[in-house]
Amino acid sequence: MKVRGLVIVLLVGLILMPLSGCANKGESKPVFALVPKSVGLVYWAAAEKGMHEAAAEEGVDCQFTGPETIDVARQISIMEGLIARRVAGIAIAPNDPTAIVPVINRAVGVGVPVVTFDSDAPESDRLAYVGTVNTEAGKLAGETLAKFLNGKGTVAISTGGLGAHNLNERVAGFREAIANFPDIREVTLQTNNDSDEEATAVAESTLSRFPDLNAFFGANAPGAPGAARAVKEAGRVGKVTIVGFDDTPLCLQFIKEGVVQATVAQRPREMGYRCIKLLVQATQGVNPPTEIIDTGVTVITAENVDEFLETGDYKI
Amino acid sequence: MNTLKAAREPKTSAFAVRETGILLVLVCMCLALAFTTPRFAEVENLLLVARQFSMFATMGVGMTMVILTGGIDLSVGSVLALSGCVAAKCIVWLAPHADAHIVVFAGILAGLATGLLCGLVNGLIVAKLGIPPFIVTLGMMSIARGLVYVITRGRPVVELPDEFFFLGQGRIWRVPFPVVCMLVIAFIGAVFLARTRLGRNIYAVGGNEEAARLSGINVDKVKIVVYSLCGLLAGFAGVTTASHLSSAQATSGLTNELDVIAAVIVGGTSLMGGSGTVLGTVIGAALMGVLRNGLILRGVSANWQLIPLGTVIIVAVVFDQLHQRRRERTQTRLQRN
Repeated sequence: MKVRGLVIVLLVGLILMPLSGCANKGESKPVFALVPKSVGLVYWAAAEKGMHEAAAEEGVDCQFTGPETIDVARQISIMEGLIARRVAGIAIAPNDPTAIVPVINRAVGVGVPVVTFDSDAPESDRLAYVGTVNTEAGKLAGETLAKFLNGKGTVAISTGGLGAHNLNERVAGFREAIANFPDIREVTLQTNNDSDEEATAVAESTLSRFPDLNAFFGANAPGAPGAARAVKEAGRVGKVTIVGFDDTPLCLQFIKEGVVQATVAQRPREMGYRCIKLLVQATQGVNPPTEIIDTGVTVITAENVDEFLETGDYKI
Repeated sequence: MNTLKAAREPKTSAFAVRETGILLVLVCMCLALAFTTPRFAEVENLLLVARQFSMFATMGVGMTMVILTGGIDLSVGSVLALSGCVAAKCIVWLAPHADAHIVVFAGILAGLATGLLCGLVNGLIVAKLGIPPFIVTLGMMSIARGLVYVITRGRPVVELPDEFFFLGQGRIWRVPFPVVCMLVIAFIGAVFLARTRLGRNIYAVGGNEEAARLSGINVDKVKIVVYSLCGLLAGFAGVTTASHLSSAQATSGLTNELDVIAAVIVGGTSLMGGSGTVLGTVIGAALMGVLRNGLILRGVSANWQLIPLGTVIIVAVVFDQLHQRRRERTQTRLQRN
């Protein structure tokens, strides 16, 4: 019976051995962590890439870690683990702007600088927000869509977590823009929970519900590709305008094919890069120049899509 | 015959083998982490890790009982979210009408009642209609999650009064309140399983349902009770989680059922039913919690984290299978003699 226990110990030891290798070389160098909303979207992989680039330039170590789903509790647990590890700095894209406040403040309280990226938690003690000014980006998306629709038509919105600060700002900006066009009407807002599969399913049901729908607005990365798949399935390519967010390879491919008309590209790699740079400076006593650091957006259409396919953020 | 004998026998020998093995693994893991990452052993970190796995362990108590009867409950994650949302919505709705303490108490009761009701429905369908638990609870998982979205329209329920926060954020002598709750609930659960007739009947039903029925045990009642308790505890976890996050989130509990089941399996409870303990489940939950914390402390990239977690589960199941076969061989040997 004791032998069995020993076998288990050995097996688990085998699991832990590669773990012990990881951090040993890094203990001398400070470690900066990047926490996405969830692991699995290619958008975050771009941020991870930016993180690695900045870390290499600064000669520090980095850690990319996040929850498996957009679960607030798990993200908080991860933050607690990072604080316990006393990483030199944390960049986080919070799933909920208020629930994350206590743990961010705790980190700052014990001397771990925190910046938010992609989505903000303005009520916390975070040093800065690095990302898109989402209301403006949303407005840009709205204006772009209105142009494609010639100021007339019905539009369905596909967004991610309904508690997400950044997405709600985008939707607000979008609505503000289309309010200037009385003949454009929003018929529904649905959530795809930051998942590619759900984005497709939600778009399909929306098209079933509104067979004469004129347009989709995807407020997060999976939104437009999901809508594109649904529009293709329904055979309505060219009859439904799609404007999305982020220049994921899939979205760009759909633009090339003419299924998606435009996307508002953020710069997640730039976000990851700037976060690490800011955190390193913070540890050297230099505070960020401003509280809101706008990484900017670009509107990508069929005209400039080739250029982005070549040099985009997602060439991993 | 053998099953009834097993049900009446004190569980001391099985206890010594199963829990000792898992406890040994947990202790080794903790020691390894404490040596390589001193910060792990800091009191505050240990307390936080305990809080992180406390709700999985609490739900694990109910899940243990369900799995002991040979069943399973996939709906716990969704019931967690639903209970939290119902509690929060109640509180928000009642807040202007009464004193904060009463409102919070009523909200917590509403959340617990929600969990109990979901569990009761699961139990009734499994017991009375004979539909496999996997399917019933899978359906409840979707229905409960769907209700969460209907009630909250996807948005978190915020603006909860401070009086609500003690449950999830309070501490007693530095120990987080959810950890205290876990210990109390686990103790009650363990005593219930080991010392009451209903508890022993749970083992009997899982060991051999037909034999249990023939020996006069009300199998339907046993099943209804275990699923109801599982739902109630998921409800408790839901209310506590909402209290911890100061908001009820529609995405709470996503994939939690897998972690709870993993804790129960790693803790030594057999998926076939009939053997396992609450203590094992708590150790299993602690193991998974420590492993997760260890992965963060060791700087393991998110992309790699799921592999060790899954491996531990497989290792535990393999160990369980080997143990089962050994037990069967021993029993056959006893029968022949």
